[in-house]
Amino acid sequence: MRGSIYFSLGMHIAILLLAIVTFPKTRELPSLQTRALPVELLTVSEMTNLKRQAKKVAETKKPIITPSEKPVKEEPKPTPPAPKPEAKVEPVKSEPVEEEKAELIPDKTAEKVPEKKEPPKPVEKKPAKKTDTAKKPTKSFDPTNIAALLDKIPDKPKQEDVSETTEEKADAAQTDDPNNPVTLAVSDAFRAQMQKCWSIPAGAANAEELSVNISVYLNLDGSLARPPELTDRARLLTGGPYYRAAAEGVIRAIRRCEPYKLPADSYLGANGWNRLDLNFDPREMLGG
Amino acid sequence: MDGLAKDLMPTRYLLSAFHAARQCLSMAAALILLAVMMAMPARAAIQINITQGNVDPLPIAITDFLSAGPEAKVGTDISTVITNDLERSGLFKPLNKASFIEKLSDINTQPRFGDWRIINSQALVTGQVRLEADGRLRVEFRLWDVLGETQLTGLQFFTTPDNWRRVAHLISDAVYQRLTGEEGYFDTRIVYVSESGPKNKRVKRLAIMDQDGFNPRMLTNGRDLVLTPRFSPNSQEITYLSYRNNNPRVYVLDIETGQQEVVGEFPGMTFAPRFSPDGQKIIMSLQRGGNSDIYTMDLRSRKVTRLTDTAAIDTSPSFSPDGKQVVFESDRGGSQQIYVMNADGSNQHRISFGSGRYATPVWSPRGDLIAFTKLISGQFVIGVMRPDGTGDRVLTEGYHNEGPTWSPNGRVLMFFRETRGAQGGPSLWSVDLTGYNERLVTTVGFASDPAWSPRIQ
Repeated sequence: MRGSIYFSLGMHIAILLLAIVTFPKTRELPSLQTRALPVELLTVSEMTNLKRQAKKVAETKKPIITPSEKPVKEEPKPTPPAPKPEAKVEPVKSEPVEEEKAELIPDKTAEKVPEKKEPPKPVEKKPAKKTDTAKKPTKSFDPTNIAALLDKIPDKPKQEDVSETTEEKADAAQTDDPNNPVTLAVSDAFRAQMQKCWSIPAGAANAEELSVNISVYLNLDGSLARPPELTDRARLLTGGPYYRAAAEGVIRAIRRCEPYKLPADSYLGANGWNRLDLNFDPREMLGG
Repeated sequence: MDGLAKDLMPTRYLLSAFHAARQCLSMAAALILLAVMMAMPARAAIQINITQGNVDPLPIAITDFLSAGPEAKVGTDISTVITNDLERSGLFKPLNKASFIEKLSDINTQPRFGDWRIINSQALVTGQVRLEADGRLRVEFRLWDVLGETQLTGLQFFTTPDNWRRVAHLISDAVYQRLTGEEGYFDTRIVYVSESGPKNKRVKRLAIMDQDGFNPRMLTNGRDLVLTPRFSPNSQEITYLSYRNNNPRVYVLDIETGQQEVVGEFPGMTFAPRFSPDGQKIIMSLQRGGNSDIYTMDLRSRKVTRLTDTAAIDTSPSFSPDGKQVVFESDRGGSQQIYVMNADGSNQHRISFGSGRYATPVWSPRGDLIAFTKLISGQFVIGVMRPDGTGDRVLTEGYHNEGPTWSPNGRVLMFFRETRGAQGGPSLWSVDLTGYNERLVTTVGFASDPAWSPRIQ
């Protein structure tokens, strides 16, 4: 009698486990629709900027920089005659700096000076004096295509298919729940603001691999409810100085951009923007 | 007693059956709850991929270092050197000091971050200079994250008062490293060939200066023609080529001590000597007969090893930073192209396939890129490519650009650019890896063939 009860119980458990294991598999099927959705969304919400993005990609087919647009190189003026040469090779001694005595100054946060709430003084904006004779390029910067900016090779015209590139761009929004126009509108509004604040780690070694995942908690007024939280905090210690600098740069950008202007009616709820999970990925801009 | 036990028996069975049933039910309920929880989607936050940003330089405020007494001017001078260093890197935008709201009087208290946020500063450098009782200068600084309201780093240095400029470069390096994750390159020097006299009769001398063009000095007297100075990657030694009575000799010069020695006198022509990463070998090309091949020479044993053996011209060798590979130029395929081989000469293969003639490849100290000169459509181009030949891109181009040399952190290239005409001559320029931060390097007279030192130890 007892044996049959155990057998029956075991069978029930097995069926339940099978149900647990097999049910989630059925949830993966709807992802097949995602590639087509952003095209439909162009007509759904005027708040998205997908249309604008697609147009920008199309524009990049033209070479952004032509040789004639290169900054005018200033001819170096003949400089005063060199001092008379030494008769023999002279040593160039570098005077020692006692770095071993260099100490980390403790952060005396205990001595915090209470910040006075003074009205901000008007800041006089004077044009910064240029100390270098080299003229900087005056071309307008197109942040959507750094890779094209970096690549100034005249003999290798890009043979990108515009339609393909546009499709790839649209795919970038795959994680933004394309089933939900509200989510897409929030994502686009957030991206548009963040683009002005986030400086990519251009020039760093393997910069295209320095993606940073971070969670942001926001108040209804768009300000940060609490400090941004890196998804993988341990990587700050194990990811090396490049990752650390990239992660700190992302945190600076998030702080610099607040308060965020996002649709207030979608603050709460299943797709509310009170919490955002962000992935900062410079790969596309660096052509990686 | 027995009667009582008998009376209790059915109750006991009933209780135990009830207990078992309850256990089964609670287990089943727990399993169902688990199944339901796993089947329910978690309340997901909106996920956003940020793939577009900008390449704007970081706004940074650098205050005059607090100082008093005879060293009062040094505080301002140090601040100016740091400002110029960071601005020249192209990664930072030092803010105009006239816009500063807070006037600091003590660097050991936290700044009023709000005042610095108003002027859009993201980082703040404060510091002070004091003359110690023993006559040494004590320079200390703090780097603050204005938006995060935290101190990022703080160091102090002791040195002789006339060495303040070097301390300023060391502070620039510390700020640069903390904010970019990459070693700075400001406490470094440049050795170059200083040129004077008419174009057809130039006097060429070895000269040295700080990377920002200050403290220029001549190293040789100009009697002999000097060419291609190259720094050891890990010491303040240079190797160069000097022609005396038309005989080329390879020299090694310790610039700290002034000690100079002839490495070797080779039959035929010698070109482009360069150190191995460990500083123990020199790699160069020697011309014998109609062609030139690549050789290494052990500086201790003076043993010479041949690495290439072709009928073509193989020259301009440069080691990878791990010393395992060598990049060089060769015309063995019919036109001048870039090749890579193992350090023992095996596995020689071509990596450049673009149009034009590629020359003078130099492996980055970071190892990720190879800089080169390319002649295409009458223009000299300075560019970079990955060691496998991919990612070939141009950083700058013009009438005559040549001789790229890497900053020790592999982020900036210096090269020389020649101008046309009888009055024209070479001058030094630098360009970073984006290709957009191109600067003229101030030198005394004309200058060519720069070589960037490692960081001064």
